[in-house]
Amino acid sequence: MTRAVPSPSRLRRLLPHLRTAWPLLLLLPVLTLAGVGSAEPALKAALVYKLAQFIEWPEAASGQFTICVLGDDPFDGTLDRLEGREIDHVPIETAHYAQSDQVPETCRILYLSPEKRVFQRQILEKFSRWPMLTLGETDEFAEQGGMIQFHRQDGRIGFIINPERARAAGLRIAAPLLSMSQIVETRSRDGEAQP
Amino acid sequence: MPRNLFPLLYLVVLLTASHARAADPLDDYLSLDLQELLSLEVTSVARKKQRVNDSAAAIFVITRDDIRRSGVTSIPEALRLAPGIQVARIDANKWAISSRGFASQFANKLLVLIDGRSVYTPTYAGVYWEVQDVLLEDIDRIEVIRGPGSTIWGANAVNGVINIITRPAAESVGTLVGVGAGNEEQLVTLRHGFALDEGSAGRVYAKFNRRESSYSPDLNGEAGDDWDKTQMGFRIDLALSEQDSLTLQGDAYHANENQVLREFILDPADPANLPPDPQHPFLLPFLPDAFESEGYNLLMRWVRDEGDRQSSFQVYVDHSDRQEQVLRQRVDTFDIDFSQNLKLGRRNELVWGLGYRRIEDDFDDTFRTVFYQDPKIQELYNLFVQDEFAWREDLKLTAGIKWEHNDYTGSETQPSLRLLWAPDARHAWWLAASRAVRTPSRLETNSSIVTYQLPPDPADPVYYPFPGVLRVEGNPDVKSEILDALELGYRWHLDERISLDLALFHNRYSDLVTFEATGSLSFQVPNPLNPGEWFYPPNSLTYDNLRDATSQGAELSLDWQAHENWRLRANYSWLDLSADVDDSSTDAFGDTVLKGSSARYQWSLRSQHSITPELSMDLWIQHVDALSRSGFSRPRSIPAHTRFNLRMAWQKDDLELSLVAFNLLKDRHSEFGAENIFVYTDVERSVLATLRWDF
Repeated sequence: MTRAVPSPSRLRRLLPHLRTAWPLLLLLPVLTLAGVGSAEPALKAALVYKLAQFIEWPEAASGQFTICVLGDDPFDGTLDRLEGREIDHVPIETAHYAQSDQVPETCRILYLSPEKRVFQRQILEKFSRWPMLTLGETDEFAEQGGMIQFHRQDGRIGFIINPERARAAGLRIAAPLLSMSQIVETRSRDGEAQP
Repeated sequence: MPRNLFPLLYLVVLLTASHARAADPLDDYLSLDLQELLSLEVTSVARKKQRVNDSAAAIFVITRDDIRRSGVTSIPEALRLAPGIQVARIDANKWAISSRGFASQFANKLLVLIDGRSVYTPTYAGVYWEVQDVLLEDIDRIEVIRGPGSTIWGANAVNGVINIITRPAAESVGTLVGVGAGNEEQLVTLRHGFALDEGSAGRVYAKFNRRESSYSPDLNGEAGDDWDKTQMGFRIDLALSEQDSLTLQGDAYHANENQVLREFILDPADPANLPPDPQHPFLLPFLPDAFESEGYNLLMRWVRDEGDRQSSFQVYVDHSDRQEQVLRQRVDTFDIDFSQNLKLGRRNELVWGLGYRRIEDDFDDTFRTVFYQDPKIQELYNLFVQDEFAWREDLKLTAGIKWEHNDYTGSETQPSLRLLWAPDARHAWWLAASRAVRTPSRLETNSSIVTYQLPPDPADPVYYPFPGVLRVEGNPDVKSEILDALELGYRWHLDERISLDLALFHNRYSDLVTFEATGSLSFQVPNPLNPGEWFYPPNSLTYDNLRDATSQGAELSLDWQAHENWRLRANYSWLDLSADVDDSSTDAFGDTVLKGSSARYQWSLRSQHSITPELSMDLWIQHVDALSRSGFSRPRSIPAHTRFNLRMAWQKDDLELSLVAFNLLKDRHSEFGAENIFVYTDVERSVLATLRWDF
């Protein structure tokens, strides 16, 4: 029915398109000028890297420093570009999981995608005793038992920290980080503060 | 081609590129300390995105990933991914797309928006689907809302709203090069996205698609419907301040399209058509029609986000020019809208807005097609308000009303009431009652279209032996079609992996448009719609509102993440429609067409399997029930058919190589019957290999 290779007559029919497509050539210099990278995902990835310096994990584990993402990637791939860098002289590796029951205990940091919002409370409950720093960005993440929440306010990102949850998991958050953040405690579904 | 747009495009690109940053923002950010990072401003997301789970409407979202993994290369084909949407290809450049019934080549009850710009044509209130295009890789999502959405969106949102949303420029930074070749299509895609200072970004793209001819049973061979299109466009998102963002975007396209017209009726009064062909006087059995179609649009949107108050102001212009043998038309639209979201106290969220649209059209009259009051300017005004009231924590009530004024029928009001009950995170029930109208189109109000040739009238000494024609005349008094809809929905998340979405509806339509005979001729002719029967043909036909209809149906979709790397999606829809003309009507066949042209049921199953991190395999099976009669002016029955598509893709770093096979089960199959002026065609099996480099 069709010929994949254009015949000369077909090429002649394409010529008018070249006439209309010439402005593309003008874009060539632009291709060499412009840069790459988009703002918000990269900023969040950088924040994950920076705040890890303020956290102390229970045992000085060896091997890899694994940063895990549960659910759709909110970093648009930028987090994976941290691989090759080091935190406390341990090389970073990243891992992505679709379900909470696939998440291994070797994750040092777990970033919970907003996609998991509906199941957030039960997922956080499940991991509450693991020595794993839980990060998230949905409203009430920290109040539902997440350790550090990325919070958008006035066009900037800030932290909301639930230090009690971190302590229960055996993690220590350095004072300078706490001083830059808003502090909350875990609240149950009906809004009462839990002991 | 709108050449005057190119210098503008170039200027915009150069201006923005001169401000482009050369560095990778991640490296920049990593060189700062935490305190500095926290003081950085980030690009604001323009509008509050309603979570699908929280909306009291039958909404389905087609994501960019869904589109990529389906292998489709056009918006109409992508719509097959949504439950309850009937997508039938009429030929290589025409589709009949409908929601909840009323499928037809000139289907007119859908509102289609691309980034807030309405793209259905005011000529007949349907959509020229082949020229509605964006770079598919830059689609953020397509929201498919089945059922009325008029309170917010306005007239024509009767049976559904298709809202195509492209991603912000900041999310498409980088260069994309794509090439594809197959036996039915070839394509080239280029896009370049760049970051600008302070959270602003832009992109430019160009694409070329060529589609090969399909098969025509009328011609026993190539259908002569091959076509190609070149399109380019840009989008720039600027962060003006902490609260304000500005989007500027535009597209321009040029298409060379082909189609074969059948039984093309010639003007007996035109000396150029003399002497008549003795075999078929004043009629060309088949006439190849090569025509051009082009257009451009430019849109500006300004959004101010003040936390509890979000305001949006949007202006666009849209130009289209389409030169078919049967209809030569130019349409220019200017549209201006303002809307605001307000949080009132803790419980109320108010949305209100107003808009103005001016449409100027210009038709070149031919013997076959005449538009009166040409050129014509139409003006539309609208005002809407909707309040979302949090009755209790788990109960939300939404009430709204839209007032709209148009030149044909004056004022129309479209209210809706919706209730959402989400007892916990896993279950949500919703109930909705709404009224929507479809206002008359230009075609229905002031046009005159030749539909059939009639044998010579022996009683007319002046014109005998010249054949006559049957015309459909517009009726300036035609009213709006009205829908009263009742909907019920349920969403259920069993756990993280399984979710289910069910919608039920009962629709009552009144004042549906009918074709009415005016007088009748004095001699009998064979009935073109009922072979073997003779009848007295009417003098002419005109439009009136003498039909009512009811429909009910259900749409179900299931999403199951069966394994970490295996996802299954299933859709099922059922529709039962019955139409009934008034006793005073002479429209003898419309009821049968309305009932016969929509699939009683459809189902589909998709499997998305990531075999290894690099290799993926996607299967897609779709079944559409038989159509007993598609097409108003030439009946065609379509057997039930099953389509099966297979996509294999290999992805490594920036490169993706994919191979897609469409319609594997049969050499060819029919999906819909064209109206009598076009030949029937069948969809053929096809393969397409695509290489995409995104860096």
